[in-house]
Amino acid sequence: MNNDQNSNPSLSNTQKILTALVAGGCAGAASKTVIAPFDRAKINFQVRKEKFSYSLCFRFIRDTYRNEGFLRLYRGNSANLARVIPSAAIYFTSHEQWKRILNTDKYEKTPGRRFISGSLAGATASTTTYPLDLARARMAVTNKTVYTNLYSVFVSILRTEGVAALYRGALWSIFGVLPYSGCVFFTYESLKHVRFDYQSHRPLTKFERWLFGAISGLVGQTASYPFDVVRRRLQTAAVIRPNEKSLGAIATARKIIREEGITSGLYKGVTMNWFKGPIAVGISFMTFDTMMTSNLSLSFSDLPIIVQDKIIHSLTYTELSRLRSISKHFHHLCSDELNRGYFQLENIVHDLQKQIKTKLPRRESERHKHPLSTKFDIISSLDSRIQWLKLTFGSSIQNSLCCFYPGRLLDEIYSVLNQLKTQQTFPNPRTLLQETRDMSSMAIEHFREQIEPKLQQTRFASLAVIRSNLTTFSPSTTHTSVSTHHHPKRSTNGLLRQQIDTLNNRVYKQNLIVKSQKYQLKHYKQLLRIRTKSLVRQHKRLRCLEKKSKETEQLLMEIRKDNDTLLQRFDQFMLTYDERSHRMSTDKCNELSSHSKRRKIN
Amino acid sequence: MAGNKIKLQSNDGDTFDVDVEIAKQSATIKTMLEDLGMSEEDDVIPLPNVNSAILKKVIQWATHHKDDPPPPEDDENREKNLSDISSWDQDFLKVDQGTLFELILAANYLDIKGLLDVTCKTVANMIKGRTPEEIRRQFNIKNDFTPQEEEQIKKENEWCEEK
Repeated sequence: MNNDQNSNPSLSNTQKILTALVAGGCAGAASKTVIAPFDRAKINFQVRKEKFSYSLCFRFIRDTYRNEGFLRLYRGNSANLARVIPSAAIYFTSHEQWKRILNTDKYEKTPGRRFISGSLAGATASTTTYPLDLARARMAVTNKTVYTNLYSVFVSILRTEGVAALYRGALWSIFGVLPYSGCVFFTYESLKHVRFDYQSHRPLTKFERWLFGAISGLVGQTASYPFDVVRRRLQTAAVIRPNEKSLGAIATARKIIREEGITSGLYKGVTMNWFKGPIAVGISFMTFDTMMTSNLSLSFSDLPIIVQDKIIHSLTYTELSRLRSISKHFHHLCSDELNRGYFQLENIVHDLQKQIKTKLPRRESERHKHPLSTKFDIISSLDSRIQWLKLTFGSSIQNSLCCFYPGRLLDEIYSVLNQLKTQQTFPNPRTLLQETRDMSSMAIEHFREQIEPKLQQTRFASLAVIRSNLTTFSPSTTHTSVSTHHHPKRSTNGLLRQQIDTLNNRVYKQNLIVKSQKYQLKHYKQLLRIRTKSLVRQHKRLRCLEKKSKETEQLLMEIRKDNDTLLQRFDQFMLTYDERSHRMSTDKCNELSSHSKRRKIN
Repeated sequence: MAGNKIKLQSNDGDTFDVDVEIAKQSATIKTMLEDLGMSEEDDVIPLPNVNSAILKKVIQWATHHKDDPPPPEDDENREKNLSDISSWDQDFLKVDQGTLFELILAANYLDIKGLLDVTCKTVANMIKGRTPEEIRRQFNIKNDFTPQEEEQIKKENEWCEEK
């Protein structure tokens, strides 16, 4: 289940990272600035041996304020902000990313992964920003003589203790952060899930976000406070207790437990954290989530009008007339729906009346014996009510000065109609129509007394505007508007109504034309599609045929060549044949002549 | 025909293998398949208006409802049909408002009538019985009436108040 509001899917991942970075930075800055004075006090207690108490803490804050001024309360806040803005930005962003990578809660609920992605986010953030954190701790516990500003902290640490000192206690700090951020994110996300299971469609309010953040902060602080104490000791050992400088994390922890005990040592100042942690975490979660969701999620008016109509359509008319006061957009939607219901009513009643009339005998004197007569009476009285309503509201609605606002009346009439359709016998028709009668007369009286006079005023006020609009609309109205100037009072209304009617007719016709053209367009599109398809097919075929014809042409050429050579050969043959035959004939001639000679000789 | 699969591609690039019969609950995909002849095996149908998380949910819904009879035409009875959401659908639609609206958009785009009906009903149920102020807060809508307009609506709605 994807219950997370933050994951607006229409953004690309890079965009998400950027927004998360900005939102995270702001969240961190906001929460830390609120909490800075208490934070300073807390660090002072953690590293000194005095017992913690609220009175001492507030005295410390007051003393600093008196002795060193208001701004001194925020001493170290520059380092704090410099550390917190990037770290919170990385923290929240990496949480979003880890959630994405681990598919946390994407398709089903995965509480384990929720914890892991929270922890990993903490680890990522604290490794990247550890040196800044160290510098802040040092600044907060020293006064101005040791370090003047953030830059000087780095310079002096690098010069006197080396690069490794910047990461002294880093591993421990990362270990400390794992349970903390794991717990915080786990609690926060789980609370959100529980809340969504309970009330799935209402978006979280700011206060709920703050509250959930605060609770998760409380849980996280309690789980990880001992780690925090040890870490601070390690970080500041070099400035405050030079003899502990060489101790490792576990040794320090042991030393604290031995010397000061668990509750007063490892949890020293924890009440301070219980007080300030939730506020800080709450504020930062609230800021982050609000910034991430404020302009991202869809709202009702983003839905297509068709869908909005569909939603509106399934509500009762009573509901609709009440909902009009939400906003102009809703007013428009609901008014349309109410008017539609009202106009339909007339048709439905008319049809029903006709339908029953055909079944009744034609003679009126025989009608009252017929079983359908009560039904017919009810419908007739309904019809007369509706006609009356039409007389009252009709013109105002047609001039769109108001809509048919009595929604409850519409509901009542529709329910009566429904009964008419389903039931066959009506024991007491008077009670059936009682409510409709009462309400319609109430509505009509109210309209006459309260609404209509005002509408008249607005109508006359806007008359000039309408008239000028109309004259610009069509050339045919210029003539009539000229005539209205001659006797304005008598005929303005009638003329205007006429003009509006003609305009309405025109709009209606245009709509019809547009509709038919749309259909044609659709048809042509389909045709086009079919044609292109066949075109492509024929193109292919053509190419195939071309290829074939080329091949045959080649074949033909070859055949022709063969032919040519054969012909040549034949010619040669003929030539040689001719020669031979010629020669043979001469030979024969010779022979013959020789023969004859010989014979002659003989 | 059964067992045939087609590939649907969301706007962030993920593709989903879906049975043709399930996918055809979407009238949009159905026309794509039948009228445009995109029935070849290796075709991927791109759905540029739907992201993968929402598409996944839509497919989940369609798979569960694959044997449903086609939804009936809208009748005039309001009120009555608001409450008949099956318990599976109710669980399915336990999502935050943004996701619900995206589902509506997807159902509208893909033209899945059943899903559109049930999501619209859910939204209508969210509206039903609330005060305008609550609804403004719920949907993050600004009250953009002038005092006079608000006065008029208030006055109009007083028509049935008992004295």
